Amino acid sequence: MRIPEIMRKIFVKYDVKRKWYRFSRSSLSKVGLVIALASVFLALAAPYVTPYPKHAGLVTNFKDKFEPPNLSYLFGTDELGRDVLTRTIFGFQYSLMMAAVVLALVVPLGVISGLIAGYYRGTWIDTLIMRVSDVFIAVPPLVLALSIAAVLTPSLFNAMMAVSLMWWPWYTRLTYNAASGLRNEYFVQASEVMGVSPLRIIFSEILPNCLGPILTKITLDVGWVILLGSALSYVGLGAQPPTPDLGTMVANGGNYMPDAWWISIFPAIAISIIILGFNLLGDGIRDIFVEEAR
Amino acid sequence: MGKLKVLNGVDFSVNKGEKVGIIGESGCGKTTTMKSILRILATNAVVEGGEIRFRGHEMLSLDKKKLNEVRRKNLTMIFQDPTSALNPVFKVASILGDVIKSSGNIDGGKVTKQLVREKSLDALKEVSLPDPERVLDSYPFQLSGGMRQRVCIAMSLATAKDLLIADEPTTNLDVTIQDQVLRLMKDLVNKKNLSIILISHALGAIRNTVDTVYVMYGGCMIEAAATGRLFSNPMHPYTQGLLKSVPKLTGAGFSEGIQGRIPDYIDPPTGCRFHPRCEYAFEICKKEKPRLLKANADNHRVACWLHNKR
Amino acid sequence: MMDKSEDLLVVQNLTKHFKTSFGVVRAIDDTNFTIKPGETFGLVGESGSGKSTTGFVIMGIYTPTSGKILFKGQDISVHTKKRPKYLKKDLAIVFQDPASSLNPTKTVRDVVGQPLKVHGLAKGHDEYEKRVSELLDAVELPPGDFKNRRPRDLGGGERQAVAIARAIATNPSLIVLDEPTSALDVSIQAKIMKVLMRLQKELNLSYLFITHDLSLMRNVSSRVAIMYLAKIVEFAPTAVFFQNPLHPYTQMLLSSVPVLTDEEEKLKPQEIVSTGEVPSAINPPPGCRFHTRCPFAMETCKVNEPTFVMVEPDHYVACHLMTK
Repeated sequence: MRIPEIMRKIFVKYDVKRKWYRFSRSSLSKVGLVIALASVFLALAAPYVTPYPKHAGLVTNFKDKFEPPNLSYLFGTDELGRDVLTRTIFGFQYSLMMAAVVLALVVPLGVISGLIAGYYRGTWIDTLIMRVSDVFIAVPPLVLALSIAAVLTPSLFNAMMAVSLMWWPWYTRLTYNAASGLRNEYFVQASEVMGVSPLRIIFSEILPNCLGPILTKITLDVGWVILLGSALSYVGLGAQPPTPDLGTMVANGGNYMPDAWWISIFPAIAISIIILGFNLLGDGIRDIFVEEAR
Repeated sequence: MGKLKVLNGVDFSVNKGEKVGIIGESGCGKTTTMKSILRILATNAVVEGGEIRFRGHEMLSLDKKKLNEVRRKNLTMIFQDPTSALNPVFKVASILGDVIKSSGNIDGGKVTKQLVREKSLDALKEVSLPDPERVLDSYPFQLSGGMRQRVCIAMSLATAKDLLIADEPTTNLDVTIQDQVLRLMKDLVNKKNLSIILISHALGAIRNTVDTVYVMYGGCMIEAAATGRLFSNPMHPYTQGLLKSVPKLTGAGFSEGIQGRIPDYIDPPTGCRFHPRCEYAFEICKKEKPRLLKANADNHRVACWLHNKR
Repeated sequence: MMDKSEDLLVVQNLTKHFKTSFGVVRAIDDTNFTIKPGETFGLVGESGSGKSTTGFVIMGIYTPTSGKILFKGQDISVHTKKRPKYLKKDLAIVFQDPASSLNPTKTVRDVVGQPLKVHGLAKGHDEYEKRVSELLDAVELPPGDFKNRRPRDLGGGERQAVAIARAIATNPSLIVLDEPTSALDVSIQAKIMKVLMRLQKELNLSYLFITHDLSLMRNVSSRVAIMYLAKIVEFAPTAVFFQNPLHPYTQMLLSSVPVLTDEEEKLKPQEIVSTGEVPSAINPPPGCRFHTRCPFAMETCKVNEPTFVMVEPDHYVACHLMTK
C-alpha cells in the first residue's frame, strides 16, 4: 500500500492534522477557503463552464445589447451584446492570473532577499538589501505603478510588471523582521556550531519558521494585487479591450450607469467576493501559525 | 484539543499571620489555584465547583465592585516575572504611586502628591533598595531583575493588609539576591502580621521562609505539614521522590528522579492522579481519590492510601 | 607534573568584550583554565559573571577579543564559521533553554539526525534510522514514541534529552553544558543529570559544566571554578572547594544556597551573609571587583587587582586576604 504511506509521511512531516484543526476552528476561514477554491476553479474552468465563451473575446452581438438580466443572459449584456456573466467569470481568470504572476515573481525575490538580509544582519549585505528595498517602498505604490504603466504601452502584462516592481520590498521587509528575530535563537546557533552551511540554515532552519506571516500575506495580497490591477485597468493603463478584466469592465460600465447597472455592478461584486474570500482565507492561515508559541 | 481538567479538588487554608508555602512542580496547578482566588483566570477557564472563603467572603460569587474592593484592600499578589509585572512606559514613581493611591490605605486628610511620594519612598526603603530616590525616578528597564522584583514586593507590601500571595517571586533572581529578598519578605511579613502564601518549586526557598507547607500534584494537595516535619519526614511517595531528587551539598550524587510524566489533563488518571508513577500503587489507588487526612497526631496530613485509614 | 599535551582544552588569557550602545561590556577578562580528558570541569557564577559567554567563546559562537583557546593542542580561537568542519564534530553544546534550542518546525528525528547528515555519518536510510534510534535510547527516550514528535509536544526534560542526543550524535570529545537543567523541575533535573553522568562514562566525554547551582555542582564536577564579573576568583578540586572555600564571594555564594537538611546547613559558611548588588559589567569596580560587597575589603582591594595564589595543591584563590 504505497500511496497511503506517502500520505502518512506528508501528514507527519507537515503536521497537517494539527494545522487543519487550528484552521477549521473558525467558520469564516472555511468560508474563505471555499470562496478561494471556487474562484480558482472558475478561473481555470472558465472556457468550459461559461454559457458564451466566445463573448470573452472580440465579438459583437448588437442585437442583444443592453439586455437586463434574464434567463438567457443571467447577468445581462453589455453595450456590445456580450454576456456579462461569461465575461465576469473570465474576469476571474485574468484577475487571478495577474495575482499569480505578480506573486510568483515578487514572493521568491522578496523572501530570499529578506532571508539573506536577516541572516547577515548587521553586515553590509543587510544594509545593501534593505536600503534598496527602502527606495522602492518610499515611492507611493499607485504613483509608481501609474508612472511605469504610463511610460510603457498600456497592457495587462505591463501592468503586472509595474505592480511587481513596487510589491517585492514588502516581502523583503516582512521576511527580514522574522528572520533577524530568529537569527540568534539557540537552535540556529546549534546548527551553526554543528557545521551546517549558511545556505541550509537559511532555508531549512529559518525559513520554515517564517512561513506564518509570509503565507498570510500572500493570501491577503491576492486581494490587493487584484484591486491594484483593477485600479490600473479602470484608468485605462492595464488590460485593454476586449480583454474581460474586471476593472476594465467596471470602468466601462460606468458610462452606462445607472440605466444598464448590471454591466458594472456584477464585475464589482465579483472583485469584492474574491478579495473577501482571500482575506478570510488569510485570517485562517494566520490562525494556523499564531499558536506556534511554545 | 479538549477540556483540561486542571484542578481536582484543592483543599487548603491559611490563618491570620500564618506563612504557608505551596510546593509543586510545573503543571501541578498552583498558579491556577492562586489565580482562582483572585479571579484572574483566563477567559476560557471554568470553575466547576468548590468554594473559596476569604475573611468570610465567598470569593467565587462576589460581585465585581466588592471583588475589586477586596483585591485593592486586602489581597495582593506578587507575580513571577517582575519584567512583565511592571508597565515599561511608566516610571516607578507612577506605578507605585497609583497602587498606593488606589489602595485606600492613606489615612487622614487629603491625598497629596507629596504624601504619595513619601509613602512610595518608605515602601522602597523597606525593601532595602539602594538609592530609593533614583529608583523612584527610573523606568523599569533601567533596573536590574533583582531590583525590579523588589519594587514589586514593595508595591505589594505597601498596601497589603491581610493576605499576600507570592507566585515564584525569586525564581528569576541570582542566588545571592534571592537569599536577600526572601529574608526581607519574611521579616516584613512578620513585622506587619500579614499572612502569606508563597508558591515555589525551589524547595530550599520554602523551607527557610514558611511555617506550613502544602505539596501539590496533579491539581490537588497531596500533603500538608509544618515545615520542619515535612522536610524531615515526608510521607507521600511523591514528596519523598521530590526531596530525594534535590542535589545535596553533601555530595551524595543524583537520585533516579520520579519516573513517568505529569498527568495529561485532558484525560487524567482515575483515582489518585499520581498512581501511574507510584511504586506503591494498589488497586484502590486507581479507583478512588484519597483525601487529605491526618496521618498522625502532629497535624501532618497526607492524601495517600498508604496512610488513609479506610 | 601533568604533561601539557594531554590537556583536552586549554584556555589562556581569554578576554571577550562586547561593544554596545551603553559602553563596552566586559564579559570575560583574562581567564585561564584547562580541562583534562574525561573530567567534568565546573564553572559557577551568577548573572554577569561571564560563565555562559565563556562556553560560547569556546564553541566559536563569539570570537575572542584576545587570548587563546587550544583544543587538543590546536589553536581554535576563531569564530565557528572559520573553523574546519572536522573540528565541529568534536565539540558540542547543550543550551540552557530547552524551548528555543530545538527548531519548532522539525521532528525529533530531524533534530537528532541533523549532525549525522551534516557529517555524513550514516549512509542510507536504514542506517540513519538505526542510529537515530540508538541516540534516543541513549537518552532514555523510547524511539518509537518520540521520533515523530515535535518539540511543542515534549516537556522541558524531554526537550533537553533530545538536545543531549543531538550533542552526542557525532561522538564529540568535549560537550559544553550551559545550565542544562536550570529551566527544569527538580525531579526531572535528577533524571537528566543521571543520563549525563552515565553518558560521560560510556562515551568517555569531557564536560564543561556551567551553572549557578552549587548543590548541583557539588555532585557533578571534579574541579570547580567560580567566576565573578568576568574573572575567575577561585578554583579547586570539588571536595576541597566545598570543604575550604576561601574567597569571600565563594563563601557568600555558599551561604546563600537554599538547602533542605540540617546536615547541609552545617556545611555552609556561617559568618558571612550575602549583601549588595552585582555591579555593572560595563564599569566594573577598580581593583578587586568584589570589593564593593566584601565585608573584609581593605584599602589595597580598592586599587589593586589580586592575582592567583596557590593556597593548597591545585587550590588557587585571587584575593588579597591570601597574601596577608
